[in-house]
Order: sequence, then C-alpha cells, then structure tokens
Amino acid sequence: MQVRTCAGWIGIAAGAATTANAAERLTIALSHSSLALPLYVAQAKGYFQEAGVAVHSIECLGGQRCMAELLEGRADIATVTELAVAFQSFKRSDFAIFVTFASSQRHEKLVVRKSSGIRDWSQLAGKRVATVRATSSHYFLDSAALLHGVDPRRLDLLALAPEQVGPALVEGRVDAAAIWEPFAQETLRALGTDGLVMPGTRIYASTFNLVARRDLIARREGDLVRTIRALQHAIQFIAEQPDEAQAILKSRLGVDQAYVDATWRDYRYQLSLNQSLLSTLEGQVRWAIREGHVPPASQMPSLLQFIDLGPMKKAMPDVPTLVK
Amino acid sequence: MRISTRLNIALALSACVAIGVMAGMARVSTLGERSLRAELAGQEVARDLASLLTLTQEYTLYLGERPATQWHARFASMQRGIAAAVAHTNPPHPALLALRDQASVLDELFRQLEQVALQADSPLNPRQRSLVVERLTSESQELVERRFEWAQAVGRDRARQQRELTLVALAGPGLLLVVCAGLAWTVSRRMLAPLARLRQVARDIQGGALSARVGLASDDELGDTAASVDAMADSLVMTNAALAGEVEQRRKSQDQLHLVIDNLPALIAHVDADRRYVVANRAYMARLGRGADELVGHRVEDVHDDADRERLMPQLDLAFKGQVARFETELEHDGDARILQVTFVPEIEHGRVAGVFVLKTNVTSLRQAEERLQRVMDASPLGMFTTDQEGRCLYANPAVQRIVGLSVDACLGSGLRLALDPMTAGHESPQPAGAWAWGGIRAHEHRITRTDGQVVWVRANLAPLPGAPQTTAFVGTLEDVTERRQLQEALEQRTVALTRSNEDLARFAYVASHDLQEPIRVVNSYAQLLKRRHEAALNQEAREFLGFMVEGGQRALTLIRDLLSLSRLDSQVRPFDPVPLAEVLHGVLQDLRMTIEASGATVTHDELPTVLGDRVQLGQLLANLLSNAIKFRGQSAPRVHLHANLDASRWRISVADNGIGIDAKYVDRIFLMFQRLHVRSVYAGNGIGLAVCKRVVERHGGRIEVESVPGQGSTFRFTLPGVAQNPAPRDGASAEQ
Repeated sequence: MQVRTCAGWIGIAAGAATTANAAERLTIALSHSSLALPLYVAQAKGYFQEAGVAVHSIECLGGQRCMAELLEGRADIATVTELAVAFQSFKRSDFAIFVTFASSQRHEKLVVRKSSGIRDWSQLAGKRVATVRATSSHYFLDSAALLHGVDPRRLDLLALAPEQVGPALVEGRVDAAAIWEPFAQETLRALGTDGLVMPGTRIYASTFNLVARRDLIARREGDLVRTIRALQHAIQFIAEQPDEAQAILKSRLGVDQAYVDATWRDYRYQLSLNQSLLSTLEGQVRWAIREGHVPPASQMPSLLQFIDLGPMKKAMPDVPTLVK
Repeated sequence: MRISTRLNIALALSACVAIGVMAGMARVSTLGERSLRAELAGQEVARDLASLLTLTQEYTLYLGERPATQWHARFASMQRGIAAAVAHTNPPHPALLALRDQASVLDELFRQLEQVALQADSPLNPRQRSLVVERLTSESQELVERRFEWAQAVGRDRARQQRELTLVALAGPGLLLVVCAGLAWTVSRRMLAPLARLRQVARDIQGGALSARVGLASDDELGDTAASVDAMADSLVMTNAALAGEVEQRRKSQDQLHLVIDNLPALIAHVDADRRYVVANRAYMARLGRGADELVGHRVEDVHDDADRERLMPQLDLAFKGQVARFETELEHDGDARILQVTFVPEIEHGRVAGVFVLKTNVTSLRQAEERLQRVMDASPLGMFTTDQEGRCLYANPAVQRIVGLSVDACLGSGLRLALDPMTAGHESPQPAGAWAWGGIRAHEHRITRTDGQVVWVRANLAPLPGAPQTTAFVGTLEDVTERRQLQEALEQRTVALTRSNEDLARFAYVASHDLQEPIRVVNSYAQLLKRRHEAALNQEAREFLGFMVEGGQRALTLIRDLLSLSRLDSQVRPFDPVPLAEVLHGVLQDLRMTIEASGATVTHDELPTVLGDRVQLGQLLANLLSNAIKFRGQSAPRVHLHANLDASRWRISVADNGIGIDAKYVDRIFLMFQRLHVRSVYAGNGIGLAVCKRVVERHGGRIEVESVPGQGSTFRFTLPGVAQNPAPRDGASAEQ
C-alpha cells in the first residue's frame, strides 16, 4: 500500500516536471551559418527532446542580430561569434558564453571583383569594401589588411547588413566584400568569372558560441546542461554520419552539394570552454579600442565575466579548461 | 555427437581460446606500445610547446635573433614529435590532427611576427605587431588546448588498453577454466556415468539376467558400445532360444526315430564298443523274446544262446574290425523257422570303431518267392535268360538249354551269346553280328545250328532291366519258331506262284480279248451286211436266227471291249498325277451328252477337288457310275449329284442318283465281274462296269461302296488320294452341268 502511494506521488511529480519543461521551452536565436550545424542536427534528429529540453529556434542573419534577439528578450539563447561578445562587452555585462561548439579559420572571406583590378591585398587600399560592421567579417578584413600592409583606415568601407553585402559587390557598388559563409559563396557564384576570393592569411579563427543572459543561466541551468548534451550528441552524429549531416545542412541553409564540398573541411565542431577563447576575446577588445571601433576612452572590460563555466562543468566536467 | 568429435571440438575451442588470449594480449601489448610512444611523443610536444611559448614571449619582447632561431628549431622538433605521434596511432586521433593544423597556423603567425619586426619603421608596425602578438597568444593557447585534448585522448586510449589487458588477462584464464570445467563435466556426464551403467549391465548379464540392457541413446562411441552390448544380449537371448528349440527338436527327432525304428519290420539294434546293446527296436526285442531291461546294457554274448553266438560272433568280430558284414542265417523261434539277412555296419568315429549297427531283415518270403519263380522258369517252354551289360549270360532256364542245345555251363558266360549270334552261328543275317541283342535291336528271328547239327529258327527278345544291379542288365526270352517259319515260307512260295498265275491270266485276257475282237468284228460286220442285203430273202426262222447272230455279235464286241478296258487297267499303268475331278467330269459329260439329253437327266455337283491319280481311269470311273445312274432310272427324269469331302488325307467322293435302287441283298454282288441284277432285255449291259469301277478305285488305294434304297436311288461312295494343294470343298457350293 505504501509502495503504491509512493509510486503515485512519483508519477504525479514526474508529470508535473514534464509539464513545467514543456511550458518553459528555450528559444534560440539561430544564425544562418555552417557554424550552427550542431544545432540544426540536434533539432532535425530530435536530440533536444531526447535530452529533455524543449527548444524553439528563430532564424537570424549574423551574430549582431542574434545577440539583439537575446538582449532584447525575444530569445533565451543566441548563437554568436566571440567578436559579437567582444563588442557587446563594452555595453553591458548581463550575458555570458556558456559553451563554444564550433570554430573555423576560413569562415570569413574577402570576395573581390576582378574587374575592379584587385588581385592582391596590397591593392585594396582606397577601394570600396563592403562588410558588416562590428562582426567577425569586419575583424577579419581589418586584421588581414593590416598584416598585408594596408591600413584599414584607408579602405572606403561601406557598412551594410549581412544580406546586403554580396549584392552590393555584385551590383558594382563596391569593389570588394568581406562576409562570412554562406554569403561569400553565394556572392562568388553570382559574380561568376568576375568573382575572386582573396587568398587570406589564417590570421583569425572564429568561434561559434551559445550565449545566454546571466539570469537565465542561473534560473535554467538544467535546460542549458541538457542543451549542451544534445549538442554533444549532434556533434557525435556529424562525425559518424557526415552524409546525413550534410543533407541537414543543405536543407537548413538552402545550399547545394558544391557549397558543402567546398567548405565542409573548414569547420571544426567540438564543445569547449578554454583559455584561447578568453585570449581571442581580449585580443579583439584591444583591436576594437586600438582601431577606434568603439567610442574613445572606452575601458577594456573584464572579459572573464562573460564566460560562465557552470552548465559546461555539469554537462561535461572534463572539457572546460578555463580557470576562473 | 561422437566423443572424439567432442574432444576435438574442446581441444579446438581451448586452442582458439588460448590463441585468442595470446592474440588479445599481443594486440593490447602492441596498442599499449603505440600509446606509450604516442604518450612519449606527446610529452616531447608539450615540452616543445612550452618552450615555443617562452621563446615567443622572448622574441616579442626583444626581437632577438637567438629566440627566433631557437623558436624555429623547437617548432621543427615539435612537428617531428607530432608526425611521430601520427605515425604511431592508427587512425590518428582528431585532436592530434587538429594539433598538427594548429601548429602550422602558429608557425605562420610567428613568421608574420618576424616579418613585422623587420618593418620596424613602418607606421603600421605597432598595430601590426599588436595584432600578430594577440593572435599568437590566442593561437598558442589554442595549441595548448589541442595538445591537452590529445593527451586526454592518449590517456583514454591507455586506460582502455589497460582495461582490455585486464580483461584479457582475467577473461582468458577464466575462459580456459570454463572450457576445462566443461570438458570435465562432459567426461563425467557423457562417459563415466554411461561406463558405470555398462559395467553394471555386463555384470547382470554375467549373472544370468539376460534381460538387462544399457539403453543408452547417444550417438557417440559409448552409445555404439552400449548398442553393441545390448545387441550382444539380444543375440544371447536369441541363441539360447535357438538352442532350446534345437534341443527340443532333437528330442522330437529322437522320439520320432525311436517311433520309426520301433515300427519297422526290420530288426534294428546298436551295440557299443563294449559289445553291449544300447538301442534295440521293438521287433528286435520281440524276435529275441526279451524286454528292454533284459537287452539294453547287456553284452551280446550274454543275450544270445550258443547257436546264435556261433553264427553271429565271427561276423560281429569282422564288423568291429571295420568291415561291413552281411550274411543270412536261419533262425528258429517258437518252432517258426525264419531266414534273416543280418548286416553289421561298423560305426566309425575318429578312425576307430565306436559301435556296430545291427540290421536283421526277414527275407523268408523273398527266398520262397525266388524258389517259386525258379520252378516256373524251369517249367516254362519259353527260354528265359539274363545277361550282364556285356552280353554274358548269368542265368538260363532249361528251355534255353533245350532250344540251343547247350548245357547250363555252356550257356553261362559267352556261350549263349555265341550260340545266338547269327554270324557266329554260321548263318547269314540281315543284321550285323551281335547287333540284335546288345546293340539296340531288341527282337530278332534267325536260324541257328545247334551243337547237334539241327537247324532251328529262334525268336529272341531282349529287354533292359532299368535299375537292375549291374550284374544283370538284360532279361531275354528265346522261342523256337522253326515250325512257324516253315509254314510261312510255304505260304510265301504259294503266294508267288499265285501272283505269277494271275499275271499270266491277265496277260491271257488281254491277248484273248484283243485278238478275239477282230474275228468277231468280221463275223458281226458280215452278219449285219447279210441282214441288210438279204434279210428279205430269208424266211422267218432264218431272219430270227440272223437277228440273234447280229445281236450276239454286237454284244460280243461290247463284252470284248469292256474286257479289254478292264485288262488295260493293269496292263497300261501310268504314274499318278494331280487330276482336277471337275475337268474329268466335264469331259465325261461331253461324252454322255447324247444319252443325258435323251434321258432328260440332270447332273449337278459340289466343288470337286484335285486328286492324285490316273486321269483316264478316273474318267472311266465317273463315266460308268453316271451311265449306270442314267440307265437304271425310275419313272422320273434322272438326277445325279456329285459331292466331295475330305476325310483325313483322302477325298471321299459320292455319286447319288434317284434311280431304281438296289436291293440290299445284292449289294455285295454288283461289283463282281459279269454280275447282273436284271435281264438284259430290260437293262442292257454285261456286268463289267462296276467291276471296272472297283478295280480303278482299288488301284488308287481306295475303297468303293454303295448305299441304296430300292425305288429311291443309290449313292456310290469311293475314296481317292488327295494332294496337298487341294482346296477344301466348300459346303453349299454347287454347279449344274
């Protein structure tokens, strides 16, 4: 009799928990990018449900917009590169990265029109170049130009929305465009024989991260832990079933196999939270201050506070190597 | 499954387990060695990486040549370490590959730093240097992370290999233990228990419990052995049953034998080597007047009286020496004298006489019958004798001695044969010498000359004696036929004389009729001429005389012609040919056409055969019969029908008419020469026609007869030889001529 009563209470409690989880789903501002493949796979394969977390995604173009979705309260989680965090760290500190799940040294590219006469980075000086300001593509363009002896300040920079960069180059309004994938390949294809990807230096490896507001991290850490586990499951699936993962990627991005074949090896999917992320963030913050991309006299923020190890430590205790 | 198969499988399994354990340990050892090498390489890479970070820091601060040189040397060392680690892992861990890629980025950034350092006077230099240093810091940190991941992976591999090694180290012996335990269990369950069962059943069978069975239903060697033991027990049971049956059968046979010999009229007994009666049948005991207790077990000389002993013992002694003794003896018992034929047959066992079978047969009746037969033969007028296969006489009765004129001793041996042999007897014979008696001819008549010079005819018969003893192969009879032969010779001489006389008469008849024909024809011609030319001048009496003379002359011519034709039947003999009777009949009807038309006769016939004969004589036969049928007609028109049917190999021809018929009492006369049943004034003729018919039929080897009903008609039937090609007459087939 006592056993039955106990089982009954357990059942009621479990039902209540299920109902609560179902009610409090996580909304992810999901960027349109190859870097977001683990999230695509987790959704397509039902790994979120399997892990016990209800996830709803909203599409957004670029980390800035996704970050805005998060900070403005329309999303609980956002997929962003670390650069978006670096720029946002000057403005507010109520959010944090709780996992890094992808990285690439070739995600950002500089596409030029041959007809503009650009064949080398050194010829970029004085040319009109379109990019999305304060994003990884901006950082890539600045860093590459500087290392190739071109002062970024001498570029005729045209700041556009992500979806406008490629068309500006195709329409001839600019001579070059610094943009991330898949917009770079779309632009190159639109240019046809007039398009050229500048051979860049591996000056920058962008990372793709999940960020959340601190209050949510504190309040729904369990969901974030389950989200991390679902992502790990998805990353394992990508490694073991690359063909099916590529099919999911093509479906989500609306790209063809040629795009996948050209870019598949440029991406590395792995969960981490390590010291290099902090180093990269600090370097980017210094770059932003040094190059004048933030208001003058901006003080360098304490970037360690923008990394929350809690969910990661619970989900995969051995993975995070960052020490706080 | 066979035990040998199980053992082989167990051995194979053990070998597999041992090989598996060794292979597992070898694999784990190999992997461990690789992991150890990778770990060592990782340690070197970690050392190089730490050194690179320090050198990067030194170069960043002082831009000296020495840190740069050392940096590249250390980087090269690290690359070699990474390459060695890649080579020692298969497949390489993704963290190791990422480390290798990340290291190249670090090298690229450091070279850019060196490039920036060379452009110290460029306005971009501080910014470029800051950027590269920031990136170097970040990438160096990333490289550290990658190396750490790789180290973790190597550690995990080492841990896994350690677990595998532990598993192999523990599981291998454990598995071997299980296999050994399984083998022990199998041996115990599959071998020891069945062996105990086999041992128990063997003891049971040994103790007489033949119904005990192992009943082990397995297909291994023990199962085979158990089945063999069970089959052996079954066989034992069947053999015992067969032996019991055989004993019973022998007992029955012995009883039957006793029954038989007890009911045999012969006296049968068996005497053992000690000359004691072992067995004696009822007749034997009855003959001796003793019961079984007085005979069986007693010695022969104690049972028989002195007279018997005197006759029997010498013969019995011979039998005990291994010879068959057969003799006859006359015994008298209760005033009844009997002749017994006694046979002593030695019983030989292993080359020595183990006993003697005694067989006594009462031959009194046989001897009496032989005596009676001897008397009959002595009294027989018919000579009787026996010979062996070579013709040597063994016995001849007194009649033989009388016929051949030899004594008994002269007859015995070859004497009788020589006396009877036509050649050796001095007379010719159509048979070769000796062939008549012993070469195959069993009967013969010939003359012999007795020893007293008298010539006699003898008829000898010889018959083999099937199954007779070899000493008497033939029995013969001898008859004196001298008187019969003399009568026969006289008859033959008379027959020859009569034949010669008949031939002379036939020749005379032919000559007489032929030679008489011409003068009678002259007399008849002149009588007719006289009548035609001078009848008117004659008176009544002269005319009447002249008429008699003409008529007589005509009749004489007819008679002579008929006689001539009759004589020609014998004098003009032609060989027989196939003659179609239908053709012959057609010719005859042509010749009689006038007579037939005048009388209104109707001649019909069925299908007539082809016969073997003389065409001319057969024409005479049919012509005479048809003429008679028309001549001796009644009130109505003559109807004659010819029919033929095959009787055995001869054709039976019938000629039926509706004439006046013949009285039965004259039937035998009508075929005789010159026999007439009617006065010439009513029916003309000279009585020769049917005699000719009879002669023709007889010349063809046939017979002729008549069947007649006065007033209704006659049917003449005669037979003629047929030919093989003759068609059989068909019933109902008829033709009218």
